[in-house]
Amino acid sequence: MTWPGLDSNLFLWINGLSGQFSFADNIMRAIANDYFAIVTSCLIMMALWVGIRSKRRHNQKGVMLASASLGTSQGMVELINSIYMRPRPFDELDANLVFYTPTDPSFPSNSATVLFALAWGIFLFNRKAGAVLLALAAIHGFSRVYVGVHYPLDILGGAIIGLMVALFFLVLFKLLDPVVNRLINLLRLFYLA
Amino acid sequence: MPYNKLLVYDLHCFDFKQILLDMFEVALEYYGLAVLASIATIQAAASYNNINGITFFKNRSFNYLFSAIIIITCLGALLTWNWRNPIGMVEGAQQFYIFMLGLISAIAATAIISSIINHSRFNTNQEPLEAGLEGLRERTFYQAITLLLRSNK
Repeated sequence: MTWPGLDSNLFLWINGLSGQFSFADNIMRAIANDYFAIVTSCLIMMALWVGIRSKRRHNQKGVMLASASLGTSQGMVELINSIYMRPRPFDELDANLVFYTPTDPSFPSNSATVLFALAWGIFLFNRKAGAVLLALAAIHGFSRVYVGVHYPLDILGGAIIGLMVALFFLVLFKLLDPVVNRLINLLRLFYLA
Repeated sequence: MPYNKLLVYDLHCFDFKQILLDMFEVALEYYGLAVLASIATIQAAASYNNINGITFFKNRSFNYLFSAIIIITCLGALLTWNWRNPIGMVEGAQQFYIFMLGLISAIAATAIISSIINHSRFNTNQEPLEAGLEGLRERTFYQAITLLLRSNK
């Protein structure tokens, strides 16, 4: 079986779960929306910023890395969308759409890319919080396939782009560690870090 | 039909003034939720770390309860977003800018409100200033900033 065929079959299997139980559909619709997962992730990042005293500086570097990854991954999605326009699954297949109809290209999933970039960024500095954020991103990704707006490959692509961007910033932050420390010290001077 | 052409075609059918008004209302709602949720998160994290200068309530448990109620309400409102705003959308990049604006507003609101509430609670000349958030354990944000400015004169 080819990759696109596997992707379509996996989509049809996951999307085929929808429409059976309205309760499950409503939960998935709620999780799949563009606001809940990203705001929850940002709130977790804020809590980490204030965080525990002994680990505060370390966690703050993670939050800075995640924020940089978030912005850059958003740019990467726009760049890829301008080059490659993959149609949505509900345009190509007999999908069960239980969500509004997005008009932008399918690959990569914008929300999944941003969520995974943020989650990987935190994971590189704080395993526990990072694992929670990765789980949230994965659940959100699954729900986007379930409701019929993304192929599984769109989510996987987003996760890989997010990881690449986070790793790039990890290397950059290691190289620019004195600058990052100075920035945190400047914020500490004004009681913001 | 390509997506961008489809979108242009669809937009001809709508009233642009109404679309802009709807977008503003939706953006305002998102901004409000971002501000409230951010304030509540700062309160919970500050209570956990005993950063009493920026907490709204003296009682730690009460501050946790206040934060929990606001966070749960805001996340509930975000979860039910698509039911309340069937056509209302905040696009990805806009979402980022609005959330950042909300975060800055939340920090400013926390600093102002907590400084007013806790002003009489702390003695401004108690001890030498500690840098960072720890410096707000025994003084308000306003007191800390004014002490900093005085010491730099």
